[in-house]
Amino acid sequence: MKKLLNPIEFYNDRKLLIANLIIFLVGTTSAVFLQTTFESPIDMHFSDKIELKLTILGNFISTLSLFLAFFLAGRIINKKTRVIDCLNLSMYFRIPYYILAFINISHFLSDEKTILNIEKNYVFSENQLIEMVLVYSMILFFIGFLIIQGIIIYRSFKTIANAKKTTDYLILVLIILAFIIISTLIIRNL
Amino acid sequence: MKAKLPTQCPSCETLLSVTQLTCESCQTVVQGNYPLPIFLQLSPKEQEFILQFFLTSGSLKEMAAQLGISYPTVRNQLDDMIQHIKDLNI
Repeated sequence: MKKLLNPIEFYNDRKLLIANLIIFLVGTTSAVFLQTTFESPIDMHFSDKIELKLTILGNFISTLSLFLAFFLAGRIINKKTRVIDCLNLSMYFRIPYYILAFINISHFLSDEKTILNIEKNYVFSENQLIEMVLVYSMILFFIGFLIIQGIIIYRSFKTIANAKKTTDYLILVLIILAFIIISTLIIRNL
Repeated sequence: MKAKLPTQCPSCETLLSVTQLTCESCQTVVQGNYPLPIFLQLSPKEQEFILQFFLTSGSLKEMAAQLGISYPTVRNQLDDMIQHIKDLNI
């Protein structure tokens, strides 16, 4: 578990980079076929058709913006922060999103009818209730998922930049937020 | 069993100094007040780190491979130790 929450502390940087690059390519390809689009580094949506450009560029910009945020914050805190570690963290951070994309394997979440059924019918049938429970369970799951993502960033950034003080993490959070806003604006204007 | 060299006073935690040295061959005893060298003021873990660092000719990459941890982790340990030694000097 320790290694999963902070692989940068334990694994060789080059081996980790190769693994991350392979997962990045496989993840992007699977996201295309699972009709998943990424509008920011911490966001994902399911489209009703394959959006090649939006998925590939969205994922690339999301990963790049995370990398720049980690690198900039790392360099402000510790001049010895390395590019390869920030690259590894940014790509590792994105892996759960590729796995989450498999929720849409049957294109259930791309189906507009599912959402319309939930929104328009006041009296739910058994099937609609199941769908609603599924959607709300996924929201809860996503919150838990974001907490784990936070732990990954906290621990890995500690290794990358030898961050210790609260101000170090405050700098990181502010820079990440700025890059999330910038990347969202860029991806939405594609 | 190899006895661990105490560096701190068990009562008030102040740094101890050497006041007596004995020759094991002729039992000559030298008395005085000698401060502990910086290396001995470090924890056994830190002393082991320095030894490893020396044996790998200062290569952090080689050390990381030997210890089975990553390069930034070793570099952070070194940075923390440098800071600790700087604090001891003050």
